[in-house]
Formats: sequence, structure tokens, C-alpha cells
Amino acid sequence: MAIKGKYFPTQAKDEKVFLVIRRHWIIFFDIGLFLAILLVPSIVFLFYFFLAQELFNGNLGNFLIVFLGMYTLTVLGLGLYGFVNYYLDIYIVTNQRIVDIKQNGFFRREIAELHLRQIQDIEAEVEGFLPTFFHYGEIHIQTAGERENFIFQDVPHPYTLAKKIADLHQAQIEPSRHFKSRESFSAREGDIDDYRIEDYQPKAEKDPELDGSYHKEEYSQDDSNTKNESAEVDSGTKGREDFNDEISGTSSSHELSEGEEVTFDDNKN
Amino acid sequence: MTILLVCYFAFLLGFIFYSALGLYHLWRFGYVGDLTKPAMVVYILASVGVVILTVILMSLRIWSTNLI
Repeated sequence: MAIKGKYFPTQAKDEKVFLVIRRHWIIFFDIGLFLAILLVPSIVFLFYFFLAQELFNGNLGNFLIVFLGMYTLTVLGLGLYGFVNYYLDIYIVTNQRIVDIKQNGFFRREIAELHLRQIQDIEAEVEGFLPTFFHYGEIHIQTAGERENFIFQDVPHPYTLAKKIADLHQAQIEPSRHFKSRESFSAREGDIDDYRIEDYQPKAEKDPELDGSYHKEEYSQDDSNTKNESAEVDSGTKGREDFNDEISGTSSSHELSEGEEVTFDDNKN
Repeated sequence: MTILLVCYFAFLLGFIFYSALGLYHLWRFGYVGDLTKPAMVVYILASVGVVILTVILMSLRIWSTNLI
């Protein structure tokens, strides 16, 4: 189910969020483990304080109570800082662009964005023992022009994510493609497998009014010379496989084979 | 030892201010259904728990009226 309403400040009304990606949980686990170790002295003190109160008589006990009280609150505060830094760093992939939100401490927040059309290359990388074991890594998105490349750091399942971003990029640069059921997409974190690329395969016959670029064309197949078929196709960038997909649902059951020629007769209508 | 208590309560004021800043960020930039709200609740409960425990322990002790 798609997220309703705005997910980030500059989100357009017709912009749908497909992926919300945070860094892998193991990154925060490192911080959490460190903080848990820091809390050990407080727990030990508390344990001994109730077990052997005579050890903490006098000013030493008072000092330890106050010091460890402040120390524990400081550790909790560091935990809050680490969580804000970790959890508010988000990569959002919409049907139009990629938004990279970086939270650095409490007073610095950067939002960078990249239109899907500007993507030139996507590369996923998993390097090291922990990343390999826990399936996380980096995604490098090479952009057109002199813009800085986008880097998704420590994201889970980088290969799968890179493939899905590439699919969205492909859908964006092909004007004939549109989304059959946008509402069926999931944008919940971790549910990256919820959306299906089949959902935005072209369905021109069902929704011809969706995109003004759809129009009728007639074609003939030279090898059979039997009949002309009509189909709702896009004359733009459609390749042979897509063309096969398009016509397979119409009255023609003939599939084009490799090397077979297709000619368009624009005069017939 | 009064100075210790003064230090503690001064620290507590700073901690409350700092926590308010952090919680404000989570509240402002969090979204429905994510972990920001549970994290805020856990943090508040843990902090309040520590403060209450510390105050209880302090109240069980004898504090001299000397400054140091």
C-alpha cells in the first residue's frame, strides 16, 4: 500500500513513493552495542549498592550516585543522538526521482535529489565480511553531467535495490510505460519485495486515455501476408519484445521470431 | 556535599533541554508507522526511570549541609 500524503517536504502531489531505504540495522546495532557496554558500570554499581550498602557509606556513596546518575543519562543522550543520526538518514525512491535525506546531528539536515532520468549507471557493491554476511553494501548511482554521484551507503540487499531502481529508471525514460495500479505498491520500509515490476507493464488496451502518446497503428507481417492486425501500441521507443507483448493479447496469436521483419503501413487506418 | 546536588540538578536541566531537541527532531521528521514514536517512548521512559531511581537513591542518603 502506497504511503498517503507527503512523505518528504518537496514531494509533489502526483509523486508516489516506491522505496524508503534506511541503512542496515547492523549499523545501529554497532552503536547500540557500544552504548550497552557503556551502561555496564551503572548496572554493576546498582547491583552492588543494594547487595552491599556498607561499601558505599559516606561521601563516596553520594558521589557515586550523582556521578553514575549523570553518566547513565549521558549514555542515554548519546543513544538518542545515534538514533537520530541513523534513523533520519533516509533514501527515498519515487516514481520521479531519488531523494537523499541526511541528518547530521541535531542541527544539520541535507536533502539532495536526483531525477530518475538523470541516472546513467547504477552499481551495487558488497565488500567485507560483515556486509557479505548480513547482505548490505553500497549502491553507486552515476549521474549525467557534472553532478555528484549518489551513493547509498550500507543499504540492505544492494543488488535487489539497484535492480529495482534500474527498473524504475527504465519505466521513467520510456514514455509508453505507465502504472497500472499505483496504489498496489508498497513503500513500507523493508518491504522492498512487495512491489512487482509487472504492475507497471503497459496496458494500453485497458487505459487508452491515460497517456496521450497512445495511438492506433496498423501493421502487416511480410512473411505471412495473411492479414493486417490493429493494436494499441506506442510508436516511440518500443522494442521487438515489447511489441510482441503488446500484440499477443489482441486477435493475433502470431509471435515474431528472431530475424523476422515487421513493417508498418501508416496509410491504412 | 551540596555542590554535588547543585551539579546534578544543573546537569538535569541541560539534559532536559538536549532531550527536547532530540525528541523534537524525531517528532518532526518521523512518519506514521515508523520507529520514531516507539523510540521516543522508550527514551522518555528510560530517562525518567534513571532520574527517579537516582533521586530515590539520593533521598536515602544523608547529605551534609556543607558546600563541599
